[in-house]
Amino acid sequence: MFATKSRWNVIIVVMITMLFISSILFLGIRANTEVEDLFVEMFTREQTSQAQQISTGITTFLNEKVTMLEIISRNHNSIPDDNFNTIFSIVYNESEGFHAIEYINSTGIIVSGYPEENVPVGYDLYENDKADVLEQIKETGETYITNPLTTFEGELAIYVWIPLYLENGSFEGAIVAIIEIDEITKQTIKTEYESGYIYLIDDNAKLLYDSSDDHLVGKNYFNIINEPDHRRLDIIGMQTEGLSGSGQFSERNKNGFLEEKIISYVPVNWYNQQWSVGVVTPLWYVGSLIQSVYVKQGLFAMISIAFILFISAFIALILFSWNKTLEDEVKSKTSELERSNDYLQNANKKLKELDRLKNDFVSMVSHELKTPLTAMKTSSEFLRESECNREIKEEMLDLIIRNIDRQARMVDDLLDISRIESGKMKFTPEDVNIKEIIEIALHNVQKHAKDKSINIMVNCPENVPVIRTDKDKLIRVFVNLLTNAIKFTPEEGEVTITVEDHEDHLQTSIKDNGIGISREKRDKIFDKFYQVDSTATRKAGGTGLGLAIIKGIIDGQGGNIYLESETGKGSTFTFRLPKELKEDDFTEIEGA
Amino acid sequence: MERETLEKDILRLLEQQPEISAKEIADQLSVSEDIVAKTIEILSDTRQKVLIVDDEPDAVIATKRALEADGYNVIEANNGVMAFDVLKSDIPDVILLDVMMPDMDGFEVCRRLKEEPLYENIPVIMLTAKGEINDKVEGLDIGADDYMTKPFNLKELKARIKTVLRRTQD
Repeated sequence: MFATKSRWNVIIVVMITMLFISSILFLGIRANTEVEDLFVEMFTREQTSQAQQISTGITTFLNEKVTMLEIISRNHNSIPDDNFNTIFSIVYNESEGFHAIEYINSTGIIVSGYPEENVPVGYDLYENDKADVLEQIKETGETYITNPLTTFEGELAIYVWIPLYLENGSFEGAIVAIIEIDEITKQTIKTEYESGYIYLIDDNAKLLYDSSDDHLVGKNYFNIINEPDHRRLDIIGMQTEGLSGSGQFSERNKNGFLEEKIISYVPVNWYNQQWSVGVVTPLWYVGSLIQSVYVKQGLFAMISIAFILFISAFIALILFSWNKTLEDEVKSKTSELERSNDYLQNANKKLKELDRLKNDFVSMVSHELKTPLTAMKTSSEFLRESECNREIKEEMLDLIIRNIDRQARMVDDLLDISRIESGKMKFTPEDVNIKEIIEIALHNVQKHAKDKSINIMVNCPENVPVIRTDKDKLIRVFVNLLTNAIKFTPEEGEVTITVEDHEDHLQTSIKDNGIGISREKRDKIFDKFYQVDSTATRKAGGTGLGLAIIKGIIDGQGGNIYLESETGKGSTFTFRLPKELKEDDFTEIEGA
Repeated sequence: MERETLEKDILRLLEQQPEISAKEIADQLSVSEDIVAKTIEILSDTRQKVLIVDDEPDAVIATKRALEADGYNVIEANNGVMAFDVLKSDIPDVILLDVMMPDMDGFEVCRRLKEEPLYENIPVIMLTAKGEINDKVEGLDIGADDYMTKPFNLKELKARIKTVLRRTQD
């Protein structure tokens, strides 16, 4: 179900994308075609105006020449003595474009001319049967221009015939100017046209000028076109009829490939002559123009995009670094908060643990205090209510006394613990010989030891140094440790006391070969109310605070105590006390 | 098992010969006279039996003497494990159970007792130094029949034992 759905989604997305791409392509191509059409149209108009300019240029150029010569030919009473030679030379030199200017008299003989090398003086037109034009202008009295003809020198040229009448009206011949077509085009078509070419034909389609190839000049244009495209033939036809316009045709280029070309043609109407200028440009040139526009636009777009990208990247970089700074700050603040949170949580945990320990302690104390009270109360009530024999009465009274002692001990121990914990344990230092202490302690425990037939060995160097410490408390340490050792040693076992004199401290160990203490119990043995075997301890009247107090006594005097034990093989309690008292070591020295 | 057969044998002999002495029974069953005498004593003991489970020896002794003076047969155990050992041979009429004991506390002992079909009908009175109401609720929740706070009044204890016993006998 989901797979089908997602497949349809993909198909729809692909189709929409294709539609978008094809419409973009279609629009692009259409826009391109329109642009091309517009460009071609503009270009053609431009080309036509160029042809118009050339046409105007040619007309103006020739009119200027003819006007000048017509002025010379007017207002004469008689033929000048030099047969116009002076004025011809002036005109020739001042105005460019003349091949020669000559004077032919009414009998058809070339009388004079300038420059002389171009003038066959004495040439007789009638003799050579070339006087028909002279005859014609004599009759019409109007300037006549011949069709382009080949001169003696083999150049294509036009002959301008201007009739010469005196003021009295007598016909005195003609002024003839020879103007080479080459000169005309040189003066009027000055633009170099690299991409296409310009040509000039007369109304017989005779090629007068071709900017691309001057070898064909003089030939009929109909005959020289290499690809008889009917469009071209039509255009040439229209040119010979003196029409103006533009169009397109195809033609082979120098490499023999067909090329589409744009042509503009404009007629040159001048006196009796009618020529036509054609300007031709290949279509690809227009394409290349469009392309160059596109290239420029593309370049512009790319530079713009690059610029925009650069600016955006720059801004993004600034924002990013700003963001990063903020992030870093937030991160560092967060970690700070986390740290303080952790700290607070830990502190809270510790406080909770302390609270729990305190509650446990209070409930233990309450239990430990109530237990002897219970025994006492029960036995007291029993004694009061019942008539009992002497034996039981004594037992009950012993029990009461025992529990009173126990209660008193418990209170003392609790006070000690409280002092140790608040750092207010009081020590009364005096010079103490450890041997004496051991003797006193042994005396205290000897009854227990005898009861169990336990042998207590003492290894102490003869000259053990005197140390400064609290005597009573040290005795308490020994008694307590020895009592414990005896308690956990089987009958006929052995307890060993070893004293070692170390550099700055005395080390004492009390070793038994009793049941030992397991690892997990070892860690807790110095805790308050921790009892390895509570029943046995209570039988012996222990409070469960002994080891905690001993540790407090030793630690409080700058020493330390530790336990080594192996289950089933026995335990060794070892404590070290410094020989010399250091004030820092004492929690509080009495009287100080 | 052995004790049960011994008891049965002694009872059978006593039935056959009401005047038979302990020595004669001992001879007939070929066991020591002491054992026979003790067994006869146990068999003829009609006192109600109280089991005290407490890790405090002094507390046990005081209570034991007081209850014995009142005519109860008191047996004792120092912890939970020992209590179950005692239960194998003697079924008490009531159990006084201390709560604060190492290893297995009174609540745990009570719970186990009430799980065992053999012991579930023995009334249990919990004793503890802790007086909080929560403990009381916990003790009763797990099937304890009554609850007393240490240090207790001896008269009150005796009264409660009587009440509990009467309740179970009904």
